[in-house]
Amino acid sequence: MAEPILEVTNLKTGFYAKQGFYNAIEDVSFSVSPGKTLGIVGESGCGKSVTCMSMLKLLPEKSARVDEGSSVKMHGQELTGKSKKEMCKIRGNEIAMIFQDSMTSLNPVMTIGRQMAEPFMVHQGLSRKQAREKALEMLKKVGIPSPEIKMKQFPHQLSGGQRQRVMIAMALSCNPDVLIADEPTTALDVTIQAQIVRLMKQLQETSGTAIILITHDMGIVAEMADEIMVMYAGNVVEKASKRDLFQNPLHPYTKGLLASIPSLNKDVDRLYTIEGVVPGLQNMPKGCRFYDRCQNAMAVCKEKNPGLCDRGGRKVRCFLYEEGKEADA
Amino acid sequence: MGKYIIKRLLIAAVTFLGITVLVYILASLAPGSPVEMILAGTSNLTQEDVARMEAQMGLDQPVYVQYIIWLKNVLHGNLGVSYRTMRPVTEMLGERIGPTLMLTVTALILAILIAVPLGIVAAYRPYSPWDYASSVFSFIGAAMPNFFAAMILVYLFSIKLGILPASGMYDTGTGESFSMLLKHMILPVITLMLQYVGIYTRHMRSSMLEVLGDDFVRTARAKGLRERAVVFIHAFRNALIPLVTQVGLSLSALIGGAIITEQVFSWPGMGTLMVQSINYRDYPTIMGITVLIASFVLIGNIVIDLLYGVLDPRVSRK
Amino acid sequence: MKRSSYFRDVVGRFKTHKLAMAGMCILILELLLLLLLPVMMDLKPYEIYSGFGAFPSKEHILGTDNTGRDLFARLIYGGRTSLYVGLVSTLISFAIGVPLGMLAGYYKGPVETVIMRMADVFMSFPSMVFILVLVSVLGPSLSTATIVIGIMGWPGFARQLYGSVLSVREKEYVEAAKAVGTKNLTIMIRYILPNSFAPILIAFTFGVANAILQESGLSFLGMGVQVPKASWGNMLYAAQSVSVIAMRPWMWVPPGICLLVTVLSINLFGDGLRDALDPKMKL
Repeated sequence: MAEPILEVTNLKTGFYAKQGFYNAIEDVSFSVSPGKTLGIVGESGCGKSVTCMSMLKLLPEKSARVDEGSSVKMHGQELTGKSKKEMCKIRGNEIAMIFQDSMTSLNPVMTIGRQMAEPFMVHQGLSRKQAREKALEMLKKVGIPSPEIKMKQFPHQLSGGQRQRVMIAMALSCNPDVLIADEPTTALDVTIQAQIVRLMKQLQETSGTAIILITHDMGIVAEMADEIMVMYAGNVVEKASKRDLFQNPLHPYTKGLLASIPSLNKDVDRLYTIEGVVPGLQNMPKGCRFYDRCQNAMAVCKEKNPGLCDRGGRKVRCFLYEEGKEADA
Repeated sequence: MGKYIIKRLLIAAVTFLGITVLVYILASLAPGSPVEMILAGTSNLTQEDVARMEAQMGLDQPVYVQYIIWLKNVLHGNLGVSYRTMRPVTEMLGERIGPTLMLTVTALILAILIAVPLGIVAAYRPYSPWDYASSVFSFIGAAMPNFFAAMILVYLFSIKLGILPASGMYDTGTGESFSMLLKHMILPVITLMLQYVGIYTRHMRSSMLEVLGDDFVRTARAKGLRERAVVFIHAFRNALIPLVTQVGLSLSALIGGAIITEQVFSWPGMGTLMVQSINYRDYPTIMGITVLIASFVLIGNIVIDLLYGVLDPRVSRK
Repeated sequence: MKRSSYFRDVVGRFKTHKLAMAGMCILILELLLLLLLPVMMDLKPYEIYSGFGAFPSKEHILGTDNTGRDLFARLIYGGRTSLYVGLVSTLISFAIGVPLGMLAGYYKGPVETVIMRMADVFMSFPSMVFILVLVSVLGPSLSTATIVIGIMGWPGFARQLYGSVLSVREKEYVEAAKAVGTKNLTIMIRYILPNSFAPILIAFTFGVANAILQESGLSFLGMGVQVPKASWGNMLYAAQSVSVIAMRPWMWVPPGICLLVTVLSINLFGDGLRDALDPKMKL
């Protein structure tokens, strides 16, 4: 396997609320390598987005805090201690990000061209004119019809699929080493979803960008990811290659997730659902966070949150698999 | 965009007609015949004299005919003759427009120029002492009757400190210079704008706060833009849009405030003329002022609409 | 059961709003003073004493005005006038605006267009100018001021109600009521009005503050409440000459501060009320 380009270790982020400080994610570790895709999967509120926002230090300083023990290394360089100014040079340049809702994620009162030109002007010091030419090139690259006209238009004049292409083009402008895609297809029609996934894969092949794909859609992960990390209530509960995870899920939560995917091959009367709800930030149980909803729950699960243990190259957080030895973080 | 402008102009025209109808009806309800008002001083009036005069002025016609005649005249710039001074109303208004516009436009522009940065700072550091100070100021500004504010200002700056004049546009008998005019404008303009500085600051703060939480601001940050660029390029224009709406809504109240402000500072504008005319029941002048103010407010609203169309590309396409 | 818990929530939220609580306390205190002082003390706001423009003294704690009337008595009676005009004229606005807004929202088509265009005409035109025109016709007095300010305030209520009717009109329960043949009037009163309660209450609060300011402005121009009747506005009107501002601050500072504090308290109260009734509503 290639050298990882981005390594996240022990990431821990919390929020200040009225009643105190609550951790949103804990003990999150992963890495990505060039040309590979890591899928982060989980229900909404499980900490997928917080993880990525913490890496880029995009969370509001007043209400959020990344724990000091956390480490985010890009090319072996530590990002957690970087100043605001230094982070600006990394964001959009070395690590870029695409967001879910392209309608609200693009500035409604600025032309597409102006918004697309910005990364070139900020990171490559190009003049406005040069930046616009580059932006036009990018628009062509992502397959937007009549790009010259689109440059002068505003976001509301484009279709949802076109806007998401613009977002992708904008994110890839400076050839980032890592692209974080936060639910890039959720707001789109199914046919457009497939186009966007194809586009991202194709661009990844030519540029060798590492992608972190955040989604709750198992179909998209199956399509794109090489490795999958499942998160639940701020914890990583399982991490494995796509093949292993789909063929042999270990964690009861992963099993549940996979069982709840509707399938044409299986003839079932009712879709499988995981009973219950995710515990809130303010009332995290001291034991396993999946305890209340788990079909395999044991006495020990209520008392203690299991650590992440190694099972033949894959990781899982569950007492069912813990044989006295915890995996090194 | 063209369609949008035409639509706004049509609405303004209808509103203008509505206002003229309202004003005309009100004025025709007033007790006393205009002829009696005009001839109030003359003795030995016979019934015939009055009737002849009324026929001459078209007062024997039905009200709607009188209205149409009046409206025609108004559209030709003929607002009639003042009962009080016997001068053409158009001429009298001509002298008064300048001072009133000077006061209101200056106050409005200054209020916006002061409120926008205050609002941005307050939004950028919410719940900081600075934010609290600006919201205390806004609350007091909104609750302060402007004549009371004017009296306090006069007390402080004209009487105690003696540095600023408390009335008129120029000192009497010393000639008229621009610097003197400026000096005379300071207190009335502060009086008039005080309230709006408060209101606009609060609006700017809340819309800026809202915009700073928007997704596209996050995108701008994720692109690697400096915080300054995020605030002043991406957030700023979006935050201005609700402020423009608010400015449009406050135009009419601004004129109302100007009437009172002019009165306190004996400013020779339309407000003082209005108050004098009401005391004399000088209806041609009252109606003339009303129509003129209506036109100003409507023109102001059209300007606001245009500005809105420029700031928000989504508007003109709807 | 559900109702009382909603009410408790509202009260709970209101209580956490310190400024709003302060505003409410000041208003209650003020109301008590204005209602009780004339009963407890021997206040003669119209009596002319010897020595006009007198300094505050034992007999006249705020001194006397230009014609020798006791300023403290006038301050109290002036406050009653201000609150009276504020409340009554807002009730008038309410009585005109609510039915019109409801009609406009409920019946689409010409009714809606006419009413809402009228509201636009009124809103886009300086109400102070209209008020002055009306006063010139009717002659200045307390009742003129009250009625005229009341008439000018209707579009605020109409718009508020129009908006909430529009949002409620398409709700399932209204459709259902229509489907079973409930009368239009019944639908409006039973289903639509209760849903507009919160915004209307808020509009009423700010309406009172606004009406008080307008009355004082009108009286300050000499076009509102006429002497000998007292109002905070006409007390300031009587004190606007430079010599009075300079030499006799007790003639204009107390009524000005009373106005400021009253309007400020109502606004703070209204702000808290808005946050408490509907935490989602902003500015």
